[in-house]
This record gives sequence, structure tokens and C-alpha cells, in this order.
Amino acid sequence: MIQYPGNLWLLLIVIPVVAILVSNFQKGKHDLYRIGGEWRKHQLYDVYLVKGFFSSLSFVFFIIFTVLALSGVSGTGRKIIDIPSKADIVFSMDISRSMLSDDILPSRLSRSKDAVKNIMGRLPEERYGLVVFKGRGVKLAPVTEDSEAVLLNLLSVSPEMFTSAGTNLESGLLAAASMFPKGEERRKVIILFSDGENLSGNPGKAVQFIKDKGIEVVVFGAGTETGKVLRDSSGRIVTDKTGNEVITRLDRSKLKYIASSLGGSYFEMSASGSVSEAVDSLALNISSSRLVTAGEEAYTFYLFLAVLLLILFVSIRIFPWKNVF
Amino acid sequence: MITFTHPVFLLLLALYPPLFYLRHFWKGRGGRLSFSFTIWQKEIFRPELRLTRFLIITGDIAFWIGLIALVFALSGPELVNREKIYLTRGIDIMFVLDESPSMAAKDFVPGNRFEAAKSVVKEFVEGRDHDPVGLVTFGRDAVLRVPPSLDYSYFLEQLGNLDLLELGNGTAIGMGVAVASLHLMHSSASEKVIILLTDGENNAGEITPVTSAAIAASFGIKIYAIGIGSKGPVPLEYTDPETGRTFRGVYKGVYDRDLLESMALETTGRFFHASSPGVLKNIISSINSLERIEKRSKTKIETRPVHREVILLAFVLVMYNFLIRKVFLNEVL
Repeated sequence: MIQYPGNLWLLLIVIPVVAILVSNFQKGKHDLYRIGGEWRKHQLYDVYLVKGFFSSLSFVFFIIFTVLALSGVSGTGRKIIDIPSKADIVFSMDISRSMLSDDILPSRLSRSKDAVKNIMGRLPEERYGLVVFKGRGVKLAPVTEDSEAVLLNLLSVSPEMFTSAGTNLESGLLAAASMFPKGEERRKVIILFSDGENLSGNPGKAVQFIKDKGIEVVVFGAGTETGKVLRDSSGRIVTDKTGNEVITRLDRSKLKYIASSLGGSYFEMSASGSVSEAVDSLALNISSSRLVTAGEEAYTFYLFLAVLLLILFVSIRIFPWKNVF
Repeated sequence: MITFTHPVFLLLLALYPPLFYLRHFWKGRGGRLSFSFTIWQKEIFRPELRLTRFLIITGDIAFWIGLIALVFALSGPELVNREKIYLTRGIDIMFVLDESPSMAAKDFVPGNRFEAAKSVVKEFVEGRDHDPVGLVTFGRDAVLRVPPSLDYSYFLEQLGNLDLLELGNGTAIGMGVAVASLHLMHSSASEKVIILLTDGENNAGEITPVTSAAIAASFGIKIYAIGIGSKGPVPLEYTDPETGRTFRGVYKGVYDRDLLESMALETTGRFFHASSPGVLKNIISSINSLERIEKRSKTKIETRPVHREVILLAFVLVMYNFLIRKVFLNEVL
């Protein structure tokens, strides 16, 4: 098994290295005859060839083995990780205007709120927190046992809560990821609600942060792919510069991509039973352990060879020329 | 902190000093051409090769650092992160803070009562460790500002944002305590505490303080009631957040000592009288030490292997040396 197959491309370095070594060897041959003299040509050439051959060989194999060590070849080690049975769950909710669209009734936002209530009802033992995001993420309720407080804050969630343009998913995820209290052995779960439209920010940065912290992610897509016209706060249909009606749609592929890059699962709110599926997929309240392929790779073997070869490379150079010079 | 999983490989470093000597200083080494060419009675012949020398030296340094780094990578370097994990549940502490205009009274120098109360609450929270804290404030009405949570930074942020009179002119002590009790009701903590800070008589709200104390008692919540204020008339100054107008005057009212005492008594808590910021501080720190439970914790050690980064560094350094010697300087062997 190879953990980082991309690193194997580094092996291509071997080609120019061999070319340089061969060309230098050829040039060196002529210089050798000039310095050493024609009369002991053969004696010199023998030493030169042997030294050149082994020196080049050791360097080339040094590169090969180092690259193999870097790519984490053959990882067979396994490790058991205990998964805590209790969880801290943070809801991160998109509150951009388009979440008011009624392509799923009564609206994307109401359905998301219902889903939050539903999840909290099904898992009453967990602790919850709430974040909303538009152009930036805002903490509405810290992670707490007090479900009433979370539900209270949920009531007030609307696109009018604050003004900041855009839908910055990155800040929504980062704000949620920073909420988990330290010093607790609990699972950390972010449940994201969004229609995936006009997402700005670079979720890539948030992805690494979330992965490093061992946070699990569930993504809920709100809306339909056919979409519906977008209305402003006074109920008029929003049009673009050319007068065409603006249609807001669920960007399924984007949300799916975000879910998969975070190792999480994606659910669609319009599908019936998606909330219970999501809850089941979290498999909370089940104390379990998981077998994972651990980072204990066989890299030491390759790297050890690489070090020996590099030492050999240096030693060949040190080795005297049979008192020729 | 860095640890090594296979430190035995570090022994390879012992090979390096002799190797280094042989490679760079030993007179009999290969790849070294000695020739006897001097100019009579002059200095020995020294070509001016500044750039070449510089390149060779940097290349050699890179090479040896690379060689050392490889051995470090081989011994399995890991970054260790220790995290304290609490095995016991802390105490839930809810602050119920008076936001009525009388809290603007200036007998708590340098600021007013409200600022003094805010700063002692801040100090209290900063001194806690893994106990959920929450915040309820009240004026004519009571509102939950922060549910009991371990997120101290959020608590302190919300506390800092508080302003007098946001909840109208009035002192609804009963409502404040009732709201706090409601949010502590479902808490799984073995001990639940309300710390009430007020300076006035109850004059608003649908729930009387006595009833609220009974509610708290029925949920097993303890109330520490702190009455704030010195005796006699005190100057007062505040700005109405809605109109922006500043009011100045003299305040004479005092808090209802009997009421606060009875609330504390009903819930097996305690009553304190804070006549100055110093006393208030002492009260808060004594509550801080009263409300301690034994905490059990363990240390979770997480390690992250970093050998790949080190290998990559070593590889780049060795290739730099190769580039200099074999490409720029056309070294043959």
C-alpha cells in the first residue's frame, strides 16, 4: 500500500541525475588522460570506472529509496482507536438570502431549523452549539447542555440577523470548529446546512484544520437542483442586469465535494427520512472502537538503506586512488 | 515537544565525525590532487576562486545537515501534544447580574458598581477550570446572555458587551433568578450554583424573588446573593443606550437585605454584603473557594509523526549539494 502516491513523481528526478552523472563521467575521462598521461591510461581508467560506477549507483539508489520512504510504501500497521460515546454537536447554518427560497416548503431555512430540532430531539443527551454564517461566521450559542438556550437562539435565526454579503463557508466551518471545548473526551461533530450557492472563502484551509482536530462533519443540502426564483425582502423577484429572473439552485456537487473532502457524509433535506439517516450514520450513543491503518509505515527500512547509500557515496570519494595521484 | 520512536538509529550520528574528518581533512583522501608548484620565495599559488569556494562551502554545509536530518528522520521524530482530559463533571455556575440604572452609582471607585461587578465576574471566570459558566442579566426584564458553557472566551466576550439599561429601568430579581434556574434545570451537574449580584429592591417582573428562590431550591440550585452598595446617597451617572442622553443624579435606594438573606437561606446558599470593590472581590474569591469539587483528570497524549517533513528537507539539501557540485562546478566524481 502506498500512502502518498503523488510523491512517487519525485522518482522522475532520477532521469536528469543519471544524464548529468553520465555526461560528467565522459568529460572526466578526457581530463583524466590529460592529467594522468597516456602511458597509464588503462590503470587509471579502471579505478575511474569502478569509482564512477559505484558512486553514481549509490546516489541514484539513494534518491529512489528516499522517495519510497517519502511516499509511505507498505503500511500494514494497525491501531485501535476508541471512539467516545458522547458527542458535542455544532450546527453551522447558512443564512444567506437564498436560504429563504421556497423550493422546498416552507423554505430552505425553516426546513434546516426543523432538522436541527429533530436532531436535538433524537439525541437529547448530547451537547449542542449553534453558528450561523453569511459573509462571516457568528457564534450564536456556545456548546452547552442547555438545549433550551440553543432552541431559543434558533428561533431568531434569519438572513436579517446581520449584514455581510456573500456566503463564506470557510468562516462558517472555522467558527464551528473553534467552538469545541478543550479537556473533554467527546466526539466532535459539525452539522452543516447550506444550499451551496455563491460560496466564497477557501474551504480548503478549513478542511485541514477540521481534519487535524478529528472533527466529524455531516453536510445537509437545502433546496432542489431545479431551483426557484429568488425574492428580495419585500417579496419582489430579483432580476439580473439584463432583466432575467435570478434562479437559486442547490449546488449538490459542491456540497458533496466538501463533505467528501472532510471525510463526512452528505444528505439532502428534500429526501424524506434524511434526518434520521444522518442521525443513524453518526451512530451516537454506541461506545465503539475503530480499527484504523496507522502511520507506522515501513519507511524506516527504505530510509535506512538511503542513509547507508549516501554514506557509501561519500566513502567512495574518500577512498584513495591506489596511490596513483 | 519532540520524541523519537526508534532513538537507537541516532547512534548512526557517531559515524559522522570520522566520516567528516576523512572527507574534508584527511590528507590521504581520494579526489584530492596535490601538486608541488610554488613560486620561488613567494607565497604559494592561490587561485582567486571566491564564488566557487562559497558555492562549495554552502553545498557541503547543506549536504552534512541533510545527512544528519536523514538520521533524525530515521529515528522516527514525533511531535507530542498533551491534553488534560477531565473525567469528572464540573459545577454549573450561573451569574445573575443586575443591569438597572442604580448600578451606575459611583461609590465603587474608580468606576461604578456595574463595572466593578463585571470585573470581579471576569476574574472569577478566569480563575475557574472546567466548570460551565453562564450569564443572565436583568433590568425590568431578564434575559439569558450565555447558557452554562465551558466556552469561557464567549462568556467573557458577552460579559464585555453588556451595557446598563439594555433591559429597561427596573429591578426584576425574581425574573433573573427564575430564568437562570430554568436554564440550569436540565443540567447534569452534581452541583448547580447561582451567583446573584444586585443593588436594588425587586420592583418588576411577574415572578417574585421568593417564588424564584423556591423554584431554584426545587431544582437543587444554591443561591449566593450579593448585595452591592454603600449606605447613604451616592452620585450616579449613566447614558441611556436608546436615546443617548446622559443622566446625572443622587441615588439613595438600598437593596432589600432581608429578602436576599431569605433567598440564600432557602437554597442553602449564603448572603454577602459588598460595600466596596475590595469587599466584593473578597466575597467572590471566597465563593470561588467554597464552590470547588474534586476533579479527576487524565493526560491524553497525542503524537504526530513528522519524519516526512524531515526527509523532504534532507532530500532538498542533498540535491542542492548535487546541483552545485555536479552541474555548476562540473565535478566528475
